[in-house]
Amino acid sequence: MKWLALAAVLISPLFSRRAFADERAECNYLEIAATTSKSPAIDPELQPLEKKLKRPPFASWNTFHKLSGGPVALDKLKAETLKLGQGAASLLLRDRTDKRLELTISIDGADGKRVLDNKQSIAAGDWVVWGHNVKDDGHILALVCK
Amino acid sequence: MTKRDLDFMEHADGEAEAELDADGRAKVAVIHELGELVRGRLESAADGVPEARLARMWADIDKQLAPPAPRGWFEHYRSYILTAAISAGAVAALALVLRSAPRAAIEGAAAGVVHRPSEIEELDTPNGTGTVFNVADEDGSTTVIWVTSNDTVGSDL
Repeated sequence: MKWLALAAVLISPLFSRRAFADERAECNYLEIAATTSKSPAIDPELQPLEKKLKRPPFASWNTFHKLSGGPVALDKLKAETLKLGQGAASLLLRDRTDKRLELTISIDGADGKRVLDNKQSIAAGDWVVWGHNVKDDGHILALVCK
Repeated sequence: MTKRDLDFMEHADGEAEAELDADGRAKVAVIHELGELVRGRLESAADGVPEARLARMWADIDKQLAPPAPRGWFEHYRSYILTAAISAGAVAALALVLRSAPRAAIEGAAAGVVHRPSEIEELDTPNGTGTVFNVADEDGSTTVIWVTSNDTVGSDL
């Protein structure tokens, strides 16, 4: 019995680490202002999305500027608020597996009005993008989680 | 019948009960006396051995009879520890194999054949109209939810 107990102690970290990983998501977000200018430009920090920003619906604009961004850790069933350069967003990790995450996202515009409420199941490692018109410009929030 | 000295000795030791004449009884008495002398001499010799010497002799005997020196903790439990380590290693390896094999298969399938894009479960756009795009490029596809504000309906988007 002693060796069985010792074996259980030795392998328990494998399972506890797995359980811990199921309760969290490590995400990165980018808040982007989309405008039209005579000198098209995409901020170097937007490189992960650069190719997509040249396609519809983003092709309406030619200048993309990063407003804010960075890592955000999500704990399961604990809403995380992002204070954006233009408005705010709320992120909630409802559930996850190794490959997929179930998120609830709410975005408010700079005027405080609710832009959208969205429940979405996303693939881990894939970018997901939300955006809305602000007069003639665009306001974009992109998120990737693992 | 002539008795030999051996007969007298047996008589002295109580092994023979034949009647003895005066000469025989004298010889038996002499044998008894001689025995007393020999026992007395041996007891005297034993008493003459110094106590310290006897003590050394007993100590030597004790050393020879003493159990082997106790082994260390590791020596005592070495077999248990080795068994536990080997068993733990086997269990851990088994857990890793069982854990990683299906995942690798799933990852292979997901990367090569079945990549499930985002699934939109609910979408509410209280102040506008929502449109879902699937923007694909060589890096893969990205789900884009675009909300056109009611105030800007009829604009470029």
